[in-house]
Amino acid sequence: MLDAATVSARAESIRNGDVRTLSRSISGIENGDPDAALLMRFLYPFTGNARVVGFTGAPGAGKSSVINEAIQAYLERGLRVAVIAVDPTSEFTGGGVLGDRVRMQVFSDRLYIRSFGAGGCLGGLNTACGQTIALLDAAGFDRILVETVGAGQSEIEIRHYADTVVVVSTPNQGDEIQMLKAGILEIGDVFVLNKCELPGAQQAAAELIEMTHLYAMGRQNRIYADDRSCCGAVAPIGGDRKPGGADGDQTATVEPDIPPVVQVSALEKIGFTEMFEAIERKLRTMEERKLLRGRRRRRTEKYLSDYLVRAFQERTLRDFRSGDTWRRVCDMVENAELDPLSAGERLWENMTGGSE
Amino acid sequence: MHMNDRKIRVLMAKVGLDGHDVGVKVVARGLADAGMEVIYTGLRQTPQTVVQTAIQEDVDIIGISLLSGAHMVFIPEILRLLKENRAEDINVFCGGVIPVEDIAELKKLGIKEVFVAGSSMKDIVGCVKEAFQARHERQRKGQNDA
Ligand SMILES: Nc1nc2c(ncn2[C@@H]2O[C@H](COP(=O)(O)OP(=O)(O)OP(=O)(O)O)[C@@H](O)[C@H]2O)c(=O)[nH]1
Ligand SMILES: [Mg+2]
Repeated sequence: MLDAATVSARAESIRNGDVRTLSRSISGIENGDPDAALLMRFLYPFTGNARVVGFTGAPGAGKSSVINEAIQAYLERGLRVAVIAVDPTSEFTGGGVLGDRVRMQVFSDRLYIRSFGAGGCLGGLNTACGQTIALLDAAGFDRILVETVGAGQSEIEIRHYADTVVVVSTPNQGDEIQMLKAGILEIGDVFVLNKCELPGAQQAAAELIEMTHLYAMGRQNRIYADDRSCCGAVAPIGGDRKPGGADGDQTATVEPDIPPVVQVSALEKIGFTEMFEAIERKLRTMEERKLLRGRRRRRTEKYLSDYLVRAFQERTLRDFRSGDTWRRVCDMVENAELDPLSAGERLWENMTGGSE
Repeated sequence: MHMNDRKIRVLMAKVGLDGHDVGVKVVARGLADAGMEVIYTGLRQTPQTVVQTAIQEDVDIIGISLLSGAHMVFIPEILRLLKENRAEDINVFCGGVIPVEDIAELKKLGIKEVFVAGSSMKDIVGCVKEAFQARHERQRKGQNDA
C-alpha cells in the first residue's frame, strides 16, 4: 500500500495530464489494486465534466471506424477525447487480440485510447469500466467514447455508463434491421447507418427510421421516464400527467423524442459532420431537459447495488455457505424432504434473522 | 489481487512500409492463446506511434515485426523514445528478417530478445512471461523504496 501523500501526488499528476501515471492507474483499477481505491478518493471530486458516448452494434458494423471519425471531429473542435475500446477475450484463457486500434490511427496529445479485454470490463459485475470513466473524467477529458463488444450483455449494459448511446448498424444486415434486438432499439439515442455507400442503404435507413418511430413510444414510457424520475419530474407522454417534485415548473408536454438516424460511410468519409452534430445535439437536449442528471443518478444506483450484491456474495454468502444450516438444508433438498423454494426461504430467514 | 492474476499485456506492432502482417498476427494469436491481452496496432507504425500506444495501453512488453531491413533504424529509435518518456521499464522484443550479425548489436542496445524465422511460439511466450515478471518485480521494489 502506498501512503496518502504519494497517492495524492499521483492524483495531481493525472490531473496535470501525465499519461504514464494515468495509464498505470487504469491498470491498477483493472487489477483491483488497493492503491487504486485510494486514488479514486482523491480524484472523484473532480469528475462530472466529461460526457460519455457509448458506441454499440454488431461485430464488424464499423464501430471502431466510426469512432475514428468522431475522434477527429472532436479534436478539430479543440476538445480532449478519450476512448475505451472493449474487445472480446476468451473465457477459457482470458487472453485475446484487441484490435480496435487498427481502425483508430489518429495521434494527438489531446487523445487517449485504451483497449480492454471484455473479461475485465462491461458486463457482469465488473466495475473497471465505470471507474476508468471516472478517472478519465477527472483527468480532464471532455468526451469519453466507449466501444462495446458487439454482442451479449455489454450491448445493453452500456446504457448504465453512457450519457448517450450510439447504435451502429449497416445495410449488410438487410432484413435484419427489423430483427435488431428490441433492447438495442430501446437504448439507442442516435442511430448510425454505416457503410451507406453500399447498395441497399436507402432501404435500410428507411427501415431504421420506421423502427425508431415504432419504439419511440416504448422508450418514452420506460427508459425516458426512468431518466426523469430521478430528478423529480415525470415524463408526461400525451401531456395528461401533472409534473411533480422539485422541478414542478417543468413543461407539461415534451414532444416524442425520436432518435435521429444518420447515414455515414467510414470508407468514403461522408456523413460525419451530421453524426457529430446529432450526438452533440442529443447531449445538449438531454442536459436542457435535465435528463442527464437522471441518467447519472441511475448509474450511481446501479453501481452501488452491484457493489452490494458483490459484497454480499463475497462476504456474507461465502461465510454462510460454510455453516451448518446451509449443509443441513442442502441435505434436506437432496433427500426430497424439502422443496428448493421453501428451502431458499428458510435459508433467507435464517440468514437475515427472520426479518424481510 | 495477486500478481499471478494480473493480465499480461503485450503490444504487437508492425513497423515499416511493407504490407505483410501474417507473421505478426500469428504471434499475436499465439500470445493471446497463452492467456495474454494482445493489443494489435496494424500496419505501418512509426517509432513514435508505437511508443505512444505502449504508454497509453500500459503494456508490459512491445513486440516489433520488421521485414523491411530497417531494424537498425527503427529499434534504436523506439528504445530511445521509451527512455525519453521514462518508460524504459517496458521491454521490447522483435522478429522478422534480421541478419545474425545485427542480433548482438540489438541486444547490446537493450532489446530483450530477437526471434528469427523458425522460432517457436513457446520461446516467445516464455520471453514475454519473463519480462512481465521482471517488470512487476521492479515496480513492487520501486514502491517499497518510495
Ligand atoms: N464498405 C465499407 N466498409 C467499412 C466501412 N466502415 C468500416 N468498414 C469495414 O468494416 C470492417 C469492420 O470495421 P470495424 O470498424 O473494425 O468494425 P467494428 O464494429 O469495430 O468491429 P468489432 O470491433 O470487431 O466488433 C472493416 O473491414 C472495415 O474496413 C464503410 O463505411 N464501408
Ligand atoms: Mg471494433
